[in-house]
Amino acid sequence: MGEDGRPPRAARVDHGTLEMLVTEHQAELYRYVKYLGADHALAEDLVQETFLATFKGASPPSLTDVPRRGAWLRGIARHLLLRHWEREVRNPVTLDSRALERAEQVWTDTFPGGEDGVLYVEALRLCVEQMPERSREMLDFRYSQRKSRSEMAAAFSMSEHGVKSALQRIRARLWECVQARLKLEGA
Amino acid sequence: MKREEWTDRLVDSFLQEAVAGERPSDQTRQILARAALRERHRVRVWAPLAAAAAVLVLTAGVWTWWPKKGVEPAVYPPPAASGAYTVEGDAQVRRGAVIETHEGEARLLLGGYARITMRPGSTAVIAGRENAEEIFLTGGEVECEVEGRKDRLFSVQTELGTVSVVGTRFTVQLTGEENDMNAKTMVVKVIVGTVMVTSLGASPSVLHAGERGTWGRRRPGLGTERPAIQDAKTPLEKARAACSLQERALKAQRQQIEDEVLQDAEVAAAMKASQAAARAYYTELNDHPDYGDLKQAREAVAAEFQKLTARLRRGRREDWQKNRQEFAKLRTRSAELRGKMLKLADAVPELAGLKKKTQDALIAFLTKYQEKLNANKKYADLGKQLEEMAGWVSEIDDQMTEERRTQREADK
Repeated sequence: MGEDGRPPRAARVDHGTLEMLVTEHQAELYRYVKYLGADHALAEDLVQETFLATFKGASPPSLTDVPRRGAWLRGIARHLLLRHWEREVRNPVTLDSRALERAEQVWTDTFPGGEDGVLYVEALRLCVEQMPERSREMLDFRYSQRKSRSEMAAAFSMSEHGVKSALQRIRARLWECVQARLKLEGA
Repeated sequence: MKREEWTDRLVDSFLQEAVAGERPSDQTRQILARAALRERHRVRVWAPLAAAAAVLVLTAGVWTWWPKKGVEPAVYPPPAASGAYTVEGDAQVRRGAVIETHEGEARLLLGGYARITMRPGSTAVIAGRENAEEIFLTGGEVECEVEGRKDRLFSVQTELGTVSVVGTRFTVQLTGEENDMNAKTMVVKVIVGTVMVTSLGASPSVLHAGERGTWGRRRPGLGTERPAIQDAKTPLEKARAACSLQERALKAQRQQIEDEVLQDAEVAAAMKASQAAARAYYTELNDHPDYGDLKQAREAVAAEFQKLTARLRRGRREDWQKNRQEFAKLRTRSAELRGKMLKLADAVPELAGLKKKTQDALIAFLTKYQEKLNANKKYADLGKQLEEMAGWVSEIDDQMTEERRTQREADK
């Protein structure tokens, strides 16, 4: 413990440490900022900016504690994302720091060991394969073909609200399926 | 936003990757390049001010020499991993951890200088110490890229031998029956630089760029590549075969220089010292009673594994599925025991001393060897020519692939 009773912080981030941090956390940060609402291009930019913000100018809380290290980097990424949204004049996003803290809670509950989410994606892929034909088709329209809600409504003979609810239900089932699958793998 | 809304959003964002393939790219190079640029810029901006400050420092007196509490030494980076992997036990990537890949690839970064790509279906234990990083490969394939620096060593250990380097790029593949050492084969392929392979019961060998060596069931030997110019039909195939011929001729010339350098008195003495140190270390290690116990325990696991495999071979496909966990347990146990064997070498002072001597002797030899090669102008020219040739070959290969694709589409 340090003099202030807290665990000692590591030294400033040099080149070697930066590469270690990038290797270990870039996928996690990309998925995290996308979860918060960034698109692919913005997510990649934010990942770069987050790591550059740590270089020479900050001390990570610990180099050996992966979850704490991840939380520290996610905090920087959140701050950068908020700043980006504040500058966005055309499409202002209404999320504030409190909402983002709730988002962080869901993330840490889902990945308590500081995982980067790749196993979650794998499990999700397997769960999608198990979904009924129609659900898979809807997922394909929404995510692969990037169809709008109105286009989907026309294709599936549903109302736009119906499409929204159906996709939400599918995602809820996928969430349960992934949780069960990861629990099983863990056991 | 409520909690349920955030979980919905989490699945939504992950679906973009799972279904639409929008996945994170490796931005390591860009980030490091931007960091280096920033640092250079910082130095440029501060340079005139630093010159002025130098005068102040001179007048300020000795107190500026006093060690400051806030200045911390650079920290040696701990092992890091990314990609699709699992860690046995407490899921922490650290020394002694057993890392496994399944369907995807994983990247390990050790000591900030050894980058290891673990191919799908590989298992490795992180071993080693600061500036002498090491992994123990129990199965599968790894590609390693090691930044060259005099005082740093990197090794890949397998049951069949150890591949050690100062700075280079190479792959190690361990194939054959799981947990059956006699049925295993280790294939080492060097992409850039030089590696040294030490194995028990055989004298150490040196492999150069472009070479491939096999240890295990087959006797150590170099891979052969036959340019079949007479079989070439299209102009592109002929050009490719001609390039291969030329490449072989250049490599033979380079090999000759390397052999000559190995005969150099200083290099030969360093190599002999390195081989002697390695032999002394391995003999002492094998004679240690604790090592013998661990080896025996590991052999017992291997026997159990073989028994299970034999039983399942006679059984049905579903039995394999059922016993997957049993297999995984045995594999982990085997890797754990190997990890303990590795740790033992560091825990027993005499063994640790011998191991360090081996590593130091190896660094001295590889450094001397590389220095002599670097000083040879013809060797450098040959390297450039081979690089150029590799560029042409890859261009021809691209064109051939394109040609085949067009042909396939036309056939359709």
